Amino acid sequence: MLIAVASPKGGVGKTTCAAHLAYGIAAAGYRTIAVDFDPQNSLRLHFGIPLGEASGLARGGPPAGAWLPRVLSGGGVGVLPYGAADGAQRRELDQALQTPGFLASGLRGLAEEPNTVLVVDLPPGPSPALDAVSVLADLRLTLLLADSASVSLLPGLHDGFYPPGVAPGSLHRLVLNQVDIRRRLNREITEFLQAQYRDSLLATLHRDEAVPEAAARQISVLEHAESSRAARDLGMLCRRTLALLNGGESARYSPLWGHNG
Amino acid sequence: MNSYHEIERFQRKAGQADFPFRHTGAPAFEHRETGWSLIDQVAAGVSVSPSTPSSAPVFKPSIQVPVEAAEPADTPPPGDEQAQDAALERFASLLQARHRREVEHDHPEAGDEQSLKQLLRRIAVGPGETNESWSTQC
Repeated sequence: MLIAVASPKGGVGKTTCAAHLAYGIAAAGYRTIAVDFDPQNSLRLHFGIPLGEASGLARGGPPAGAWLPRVLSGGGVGVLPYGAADGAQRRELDQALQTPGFLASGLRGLAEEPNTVLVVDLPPGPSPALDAVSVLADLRLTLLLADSASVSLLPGLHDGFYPPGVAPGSLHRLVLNQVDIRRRLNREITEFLQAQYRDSLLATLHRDEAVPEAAARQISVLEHAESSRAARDLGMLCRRTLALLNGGESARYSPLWGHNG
Repeated sequence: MNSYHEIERFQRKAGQADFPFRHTGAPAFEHRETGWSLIDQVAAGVSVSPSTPSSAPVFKPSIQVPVEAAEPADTPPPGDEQAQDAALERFASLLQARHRREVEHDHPEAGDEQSLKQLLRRIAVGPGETNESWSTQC
């Protein structure tokens, strides 16, 4: 299974969300690999991988063969970082992503083992990675904030953000992040989105200091503060994501997901 | 904070042992000083090795910005340099003459030889007061 985490704008917590999806799905017993297509190369940091580790997908040019040798192990999850890459290497990877078969064969090699879930973190906005991954994904999650900028980008989500090659039956859901109901505008936008996008809003994640704290410790929120609001919200996101991918059946339960939602 | 048992259980559930992936050594958070792994690594001066091989071409931006740019000096307006120098001299002499005229007008007794200190005292105490009274005030 392939889950693509995308957003039309940056700074919405996409990488954090992708990391916790990977953590949560791994905690449910799936073999999980988090793949980073964002040149910021920060997904790996959520899994305890040292800051100085430079290897990754783009580092030294796109892989000519199997991608598995570039996968690292972090916190029970396989992690394929973007890698510390210069401009030429980034352009090389973008070019490779536009080559038919490159992405599909690479991802297929990662998911050869049964029960594998690939969680792909995409760069913000349109990109060759978004175009290539979207057409292969079983589920596309679009992260948004409860702010005016995100609201203004909503119409474009169905009109040009995702490439035309996306299969009509493929799943797409919204995730609203960093909700703080104490703020009037934030609360009213959340209510608007919950009413307007009732069917496609998969989860609402509340702002919680446990999230940046866990990031600074390079561990998951589920581990850093398992009783926190963030851990509960992210657990709910994992459960609903797996239920969606399993055709609505109740997903495998993990005690790390909490009890609500 | 989770107990060791809980962490171990989490790792077992996550199937960590099943992964043939390359390990990057002990998790960074085990060596923390401040408790925040990322801060510790930055504080320790962790750097990523340069991604560009030495033989690879180096891409330089079309606009070069000097790293140690000097403070911008007072740049003279474009024009003939000699004419500017002459103008500057005239301007300086005019300023000196004006200053001398102002001092002579306000304090006729103040000559070129009068010290700046005395002049300032006169200005401070105002007309009609003596240096002695000023000194007692201080």
